[in-house]
Amino acid sequence: MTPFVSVEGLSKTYTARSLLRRSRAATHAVRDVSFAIARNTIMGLAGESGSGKSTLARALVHLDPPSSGEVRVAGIPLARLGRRGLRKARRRMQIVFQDPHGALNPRLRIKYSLGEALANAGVPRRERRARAVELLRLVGLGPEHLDRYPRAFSGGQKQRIVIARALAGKPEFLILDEPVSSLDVSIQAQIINLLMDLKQRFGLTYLFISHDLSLVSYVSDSIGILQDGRLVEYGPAEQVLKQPRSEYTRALFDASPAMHRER
Amino acid sequence: MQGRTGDHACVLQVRDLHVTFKADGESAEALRGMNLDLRQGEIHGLVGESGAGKSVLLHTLLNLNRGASFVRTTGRVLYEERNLLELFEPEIRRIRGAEIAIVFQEPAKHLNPGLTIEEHIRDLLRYHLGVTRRPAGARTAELLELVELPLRVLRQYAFELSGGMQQRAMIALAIACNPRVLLADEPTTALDVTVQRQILELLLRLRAELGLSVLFVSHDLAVVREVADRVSVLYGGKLIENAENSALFDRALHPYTELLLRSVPSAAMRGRALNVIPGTVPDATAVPPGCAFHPRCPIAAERCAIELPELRAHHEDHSVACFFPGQLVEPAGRQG
Ligand SMILES: Nc1ncnc2c1ncn2[C@@H]1O[C@H](COP(=O)(O)OP(=O)(O)OP(=O)(O)O)[C@@H](O)[C@H]1O
Ligand SMILES: Nc1ncnc2c1ncn2[C@@H]1O[C@H](COP(=O)(O)OP(=O)(O)O)[C@@H](O)[C@H]1O
Ligand code: SF4
Ligand SMILES: [Mg+2]
Ligand SMILES: [Mg+2]
Repeated sequence: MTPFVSVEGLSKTYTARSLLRRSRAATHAVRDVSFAIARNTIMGLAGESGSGKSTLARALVHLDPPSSGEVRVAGIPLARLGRRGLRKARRRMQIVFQDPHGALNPRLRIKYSLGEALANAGVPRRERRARAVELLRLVGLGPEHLDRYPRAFSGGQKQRIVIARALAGKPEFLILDEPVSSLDVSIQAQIINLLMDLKQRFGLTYLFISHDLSLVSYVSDSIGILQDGRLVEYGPAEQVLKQPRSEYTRALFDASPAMHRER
Repeated sequence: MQGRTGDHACVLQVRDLHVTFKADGESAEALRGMNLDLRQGEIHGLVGESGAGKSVLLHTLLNLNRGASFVRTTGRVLYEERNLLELFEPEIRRIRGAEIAIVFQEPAKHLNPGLTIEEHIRDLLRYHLGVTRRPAGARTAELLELVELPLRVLRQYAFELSGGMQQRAMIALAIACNPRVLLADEPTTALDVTVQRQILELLLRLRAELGLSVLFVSHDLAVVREVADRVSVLYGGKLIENAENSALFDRALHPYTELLLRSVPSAAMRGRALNVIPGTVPDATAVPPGCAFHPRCPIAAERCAIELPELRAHHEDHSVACFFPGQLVEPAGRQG
């Protein structure tokens, strides 16, 4: 079976001119990363802060062009697409970020935030309102929320709206970058269940990024662990959980506090 | 009875604490009759979701509530036979930082960027203990050793240190004057798991070596389970359950506690939907009447919306504020 998303030899290097040395200091944020995600499965990506998780996410969808390497989504190499082709392809893949507060324009009523996304997705104007209501319903909100501003919503509700917006273009692939880290424990469970439902319902494929190993263990079909930009562990979840190959993975699991200890 | 609960010596006792703020003209009761005993030498975990009142409680213990939105505090905070809330500022200042010290989630925000770590420690020792230069030097070195920081850190500024090192420096400052009580507000939340582990181990060691009593605030149930001897659960500005660690995690009595524990994802839950608590945590300006949890509680009865359940001992050493403790049925197939 060909994977839905495949990443080969992906690297991202940031260069910043150093004031003192007049030289260029390079940060190798992502180094030679390869993996593949089968359709309708979830790859979990974990690692400590600064390990390159968010950089990888942005490079993957070419929000920041990778320094090298190839990404294929549904068999199409993204690098070969022109700007217009890339914009079209991006409808099929969306990123949901950690902080729902920063993700919504505070001065736009929810209907306009959703309307904008629907317009980008090519939905004709007269259909947008109905589609917006449908999107809200998908995430457990109602039409009464359309006229409100973001400040009227709790963090969990905002994250639902952000997810609704990501679904506007009927994407097939979602990158979820710490989608519940800023939410309360009881609200996290609501959002995770919602994401799992949506995945089943629409046959979605996820790259699920989190520093929380218990959460990654729960959601993932396959798991990758990043350390200093390198994918030091990658394999089916069962295997990574039971017999991690890298010493680093073992250390991470041992250090992370768990409610239910199985090992 | 002051200073003891049952057979246990208490260092700090909170009685009927109410704290009121004003938010957009509305009155916000952040603490609504809080009672809590901190026993000698224990690590007391305080868990609750955002807005439950965890940080307000810690600030109130040290009489730190300030600002235009602060309205009033009532109740008692008993420490060494005295109500800390009745002390004048110069008196509480002698206790704050010296006998009761606090460690924050984000050390960088609480360290002065213009002072080296050594200057921080020296100022603190001079202020509280009147220690002069030379002995201060010896004590400073000793503190760094306790928190396992290299001596070079003394000449460094907070921003030059990693998150974990900043937190160690913050802890060194907190224990500098040999406090009896350490208040820790999410001390590891901003840290990576490996660093978090080191800080937790440091706290455990300091408790053992210095006999500290620690009030450990966290929203992370797994962290609290690992370090706390005793755990209290906060909801809507009140303490709703209190028990020894394993009793709380294995035999929770309050529906909120039980549901919260069940909502934590883990490898053991793979393939099954997580348990969910419907609705959201209450805002301090609009805490529901009766039991604050009743709009979200699956077993709420009529009286729950009207009467306020008080915290009382269900059995020895396990208190709960609920009319129907332990009556939430287990869902089929739940694993412990
Ligand atoms: N200065 C203030 N003015 C108005 N309301 C306040 C103030 N400080 C706290 N509150 C309110 O008091 C309640 C308790 O806040 P607190 O900061 O103690 O929560 P917490 O349990 O520490 O939450 P978190 O997990 O988010 O840190 C909240 O509803 C908060 O909005
Ligand atoms: N725009 C940027 N310019 C320079 N360095 C960056 C930039 N974005 C990220 N980095 C660096 O790349 C590394 C990985 O960062 P990031 O992907 O944000 O990590 P994570 O999401 O895993 O916490 C870090 O060293 C970070 O400082
Ligand atoms: S008092 Fe009533 S509403 Fe509150 S937790 Fe107990 S059963 Fe539920
Ligand atoms: Mg990130
Ligand atoms: Mg707080």
